[in-house]
Amino acid sequence: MSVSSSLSRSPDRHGSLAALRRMGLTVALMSAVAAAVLMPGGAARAATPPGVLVVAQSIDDAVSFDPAEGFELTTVQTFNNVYQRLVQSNRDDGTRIEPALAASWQPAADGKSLTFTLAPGARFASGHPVRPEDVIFSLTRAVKLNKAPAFILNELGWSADNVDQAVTRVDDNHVKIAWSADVGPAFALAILTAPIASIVDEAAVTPQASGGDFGNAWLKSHSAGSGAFTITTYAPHEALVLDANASAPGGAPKLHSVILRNVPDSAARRLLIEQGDADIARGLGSDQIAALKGEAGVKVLAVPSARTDYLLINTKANATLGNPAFWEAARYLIDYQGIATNLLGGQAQVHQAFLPVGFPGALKDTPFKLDIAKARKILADAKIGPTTIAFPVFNEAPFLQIAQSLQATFAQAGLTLDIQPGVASDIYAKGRSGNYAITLRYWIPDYFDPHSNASAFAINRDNSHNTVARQAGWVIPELSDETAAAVKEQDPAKRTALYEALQHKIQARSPYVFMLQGSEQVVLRDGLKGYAQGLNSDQVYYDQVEK
Amino acid sequence: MMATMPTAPSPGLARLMRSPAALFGLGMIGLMIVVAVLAPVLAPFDPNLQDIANRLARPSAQHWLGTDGFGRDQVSRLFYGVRPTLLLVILVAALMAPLGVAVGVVAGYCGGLVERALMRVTDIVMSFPRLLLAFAFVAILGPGLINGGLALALTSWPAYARQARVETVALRDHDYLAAAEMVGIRGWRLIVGHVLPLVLPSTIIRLALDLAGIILAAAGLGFLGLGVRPPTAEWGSMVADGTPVIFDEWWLTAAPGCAIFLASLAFNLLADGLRDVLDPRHD
Amino acid sequence: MLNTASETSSTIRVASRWFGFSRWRGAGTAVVRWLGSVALTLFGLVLVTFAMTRLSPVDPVLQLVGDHASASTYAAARLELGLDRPLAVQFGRYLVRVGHGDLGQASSTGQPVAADIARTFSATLELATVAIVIGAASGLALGIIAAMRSGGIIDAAARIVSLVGYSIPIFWLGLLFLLLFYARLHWAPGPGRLDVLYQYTLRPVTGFALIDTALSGTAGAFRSAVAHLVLPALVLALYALAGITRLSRGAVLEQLGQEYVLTARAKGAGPWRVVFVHVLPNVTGPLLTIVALAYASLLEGAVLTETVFAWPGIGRYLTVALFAGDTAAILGATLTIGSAFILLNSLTDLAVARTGRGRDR
Repeated sequence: MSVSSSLSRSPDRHGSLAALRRMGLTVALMSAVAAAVLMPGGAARAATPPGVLVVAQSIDDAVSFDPAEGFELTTVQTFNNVYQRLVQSNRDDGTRIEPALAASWQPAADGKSLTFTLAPGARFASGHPVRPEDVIFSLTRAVKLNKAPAFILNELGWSADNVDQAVTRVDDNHVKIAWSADVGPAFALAILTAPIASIVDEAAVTPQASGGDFGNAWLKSHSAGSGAFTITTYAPHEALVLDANASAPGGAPKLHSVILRNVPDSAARRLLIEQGDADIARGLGSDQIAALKGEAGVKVLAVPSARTDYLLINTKANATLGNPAFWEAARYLIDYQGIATNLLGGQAQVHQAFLPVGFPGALKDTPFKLDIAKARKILADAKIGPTTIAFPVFNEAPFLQIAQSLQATFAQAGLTLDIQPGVASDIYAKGRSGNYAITLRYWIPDYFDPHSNASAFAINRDNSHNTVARQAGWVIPELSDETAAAVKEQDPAKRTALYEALQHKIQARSPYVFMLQGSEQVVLRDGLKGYAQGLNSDQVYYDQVEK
Repeated sequence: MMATMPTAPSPGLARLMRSPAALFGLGMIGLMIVVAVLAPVLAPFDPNLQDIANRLARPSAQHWLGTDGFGRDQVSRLFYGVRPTLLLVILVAALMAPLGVAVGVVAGYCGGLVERALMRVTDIVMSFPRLLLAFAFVAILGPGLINGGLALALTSWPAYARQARVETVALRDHDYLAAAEMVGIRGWRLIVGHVLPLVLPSTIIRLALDLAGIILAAAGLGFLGLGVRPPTAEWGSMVADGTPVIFDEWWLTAAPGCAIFLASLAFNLLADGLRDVLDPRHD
Repeated sequence: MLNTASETSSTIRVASRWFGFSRWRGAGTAVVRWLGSVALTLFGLVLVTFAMTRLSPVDPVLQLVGDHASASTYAAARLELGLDRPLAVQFGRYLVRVGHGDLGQASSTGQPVAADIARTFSATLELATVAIVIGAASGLALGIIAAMRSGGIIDAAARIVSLVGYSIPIFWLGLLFLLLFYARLHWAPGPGRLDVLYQYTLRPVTGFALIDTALSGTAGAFRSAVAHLVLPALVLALYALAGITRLSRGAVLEQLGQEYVLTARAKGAGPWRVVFVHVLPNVTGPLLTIVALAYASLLEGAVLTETVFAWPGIGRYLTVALFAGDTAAILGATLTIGSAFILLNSLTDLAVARTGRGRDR
């Protein structure tokens, strides 16, 4: 049986129609579109509903809204608005630690524990009071669940076996937190400002727990905190809706809800903010920002970010890449200024040390600049001839842009960079397995303390821990000792000096080339007031926003 | 049932020449080949020469279509962009059609279990979300021209297999093959010498029609960052590069978009003409 | 989105061979055979998809825990995803779970895959359905008139529309539409499914924005749903229209050359009467198939459109899952799209079988 034998070869008797006439029409159509594109728009602008803040951004990265698990930009930025921690970093100066759910704290004489006094009268959004049990539940479950950010709490020496002894109830409003790691109370406080140290409502979560998951499955898309907002709806890849928590201990927010809308395309995000269909747009490219700067109705907020971008060299890839002369030459083959000013226009500054500006002890000097002749000489002296270098790069802005600039400048010294774009996990996997030659990476501190960066770049005794130094195949027992000494140091001035010394050494000679420090550009509608964003990536605050 | 008997190709060629649509398509494809070959001569600049102090320049006498986000001359990149497009088309055509036809002819000729097994595989591949599967392949193999071509070919062959099988089955039942078998032509000789030539015309039409789609799919891959590796100029990735600034430097998106459109149109026009010529029902 | 329309003929042929009910003696046997062949195809689909996710360089664990996580976290996540087991065991377990109606948990969203798919597939279904209604209505009309007036102005227009629709990069067209109708002319609302005012205040009942807003009784919400659909639906409709116009024109034109048409003409039937009374009943099958295949290709082919218009559909869901190495989500979404494809094919075939087969000779 056959229904139709030849639809795809339907008889076509009018092949002789004037093809040129057709083409003419097509061209006319195209030019009409083009002309209309150029026409200035004039109709009334849209507006978002009153009391509702609409944020256009990509939320595709979100994995879990459980503070013990979430470790992506979207989720950590939400935790500050939904949960509180015992202590928090100051919004403007992250190095200052302020009370949050703890009204005050007292270090023990031996410097190995802290006793916190809970803020009187603090309640969760559910109405339950904040108790020492909630603190114990929150911190112990985070360690026992052992999800992505758990390593932050592990820095205190906590493990699933000992955390129950480390976090203990003193009385109805006091909780004691002790640690076995060789670190001081200042460092412990910094750790407790991390999103994973958020305090969840034990009484609300426990009934939702199943199979020993401490409520993890439920908390992935629900909230049980004391922050200014609560999660009302979460539709993955679509939107996150937060509603005001009128009884928030930090004061009720001025908005009644916040909607994070997933708009994956940055051009579409720009349209939405320009048209007034969004109040805030995040993650726009520098050219889009530059174009919006002249527009009426929007303003661009530039927020320094703690993100540093660096070139990572795999010293084990081959003899050339293991040669410190190559590391040195690479430092002169980067058009730092051109990338920062022209390519990324305002979204990054030249920065050449592992601590970002804003962290105590960060080096601000920039000893390296593009100098092809010098690089050539260094390479020639080391007898490094023309070679091709595999260069896996994140398949997204700005990394691909930076990579192409490097490709152009390295080529001038006879070094061919073979850019291999890939998704993040692919690039990470290559880093872990040492299956790369050089790669472009970024680092965002996990908590507000220099050790977060130092432990990544300056610790690798025997390739046993997954640090950036290990991924570079760079074994540095001496620097590791210095890093361990720095985190132990109790005197702030001395500690700062230790980190400065570490940075100088790594700046001069290491398989890393630090290039840039990021700067976030957030676009806001003109009428918006009270939006705050801090240096670290999680520090996004909607509670004071007014329209 | 299918009873397509091919016509001899030579008078068809003459008819192809009389079809303005096909001629126009053929002309545009010829032009693309010329541009691809002569790109170094035609292009006013090195397509990969960066000048980031002069990025996103407006069109001028020096840069007719302005410069892109790296200060590279857009016209030069547009010219060089023909190369990966044509290479990909050739690569896909050379892989997809032979693979599909081979599967289809073998299935149709052998019949029985072989046919059932081969066609079952074909059905399975056919019911995949094809573009997504191609994305997945590229994600596995890594971006690049060859990988993109492989991905598109690996996901697009079933249509050829089905068509070739149906036509082979029709031939198998036909006296024509029985006659050939009677004079002792069997097995591979029969397939290559007598089945294949009869299956080819419809394959060529389909191929011409498909190539337009391949160009679009390749551009889609480039648009999603799964196409050729930087810094190679490729139209789909040029559209993607221009997208963030589409409201201000719209020509950066419009020009490669138009190029994709015209290239695809050229193949569609040629396909139309070929169908006029090769489809026997016109007589 | 490759070679959709040109697939038609062979698909119909093969479909009729595989699912041709008349072949089998009893309807019961036919259904059993049909179910068997569908199950086999779906099994192959799952097997290939599964193998692909395992070949992919995407490390689903790293994707989940990031590069900073400790080795013990990595190991725990790997264990939780079941990646420590042999591949055959992983695959077997998946099949057993699917057999029990459990598509698993999406690692990239933290939600059950079934819930994710219910939400995203209805969004795609809504978009594709509206697009196919527009595309089929205009495409069939254009194709039929073009065939009747072969060589005329409308025929030329139909050919241009069809060529443009076939040749234009869809993502580019979407961007141009947004630029023109949203940014410049302010005729259409921006990307998304509904105005924010309504989007998160309405309770989703069916998952289809049009129906939900209509049920809500809020005229503004319904208008908003319609307005948001217009641009992406038009972009997709143009794509569908291209194939439908071309193929329906061909199908009708072929009939017009048949003897029975000449006879009818000789008996004095006017051109409209010839087409509507004599030709159309004979081409209902092919036309249905053309539309159904275009519909199926919209269901799978809307990825780029969904990205440009921020439409939370299954194409985008699958793409995001692919890049995240989220096996459960990839398998679930592929199964859904594949099933829809097969189902559409079979239903079409059934309908074709019912509506007579005028072209059988």
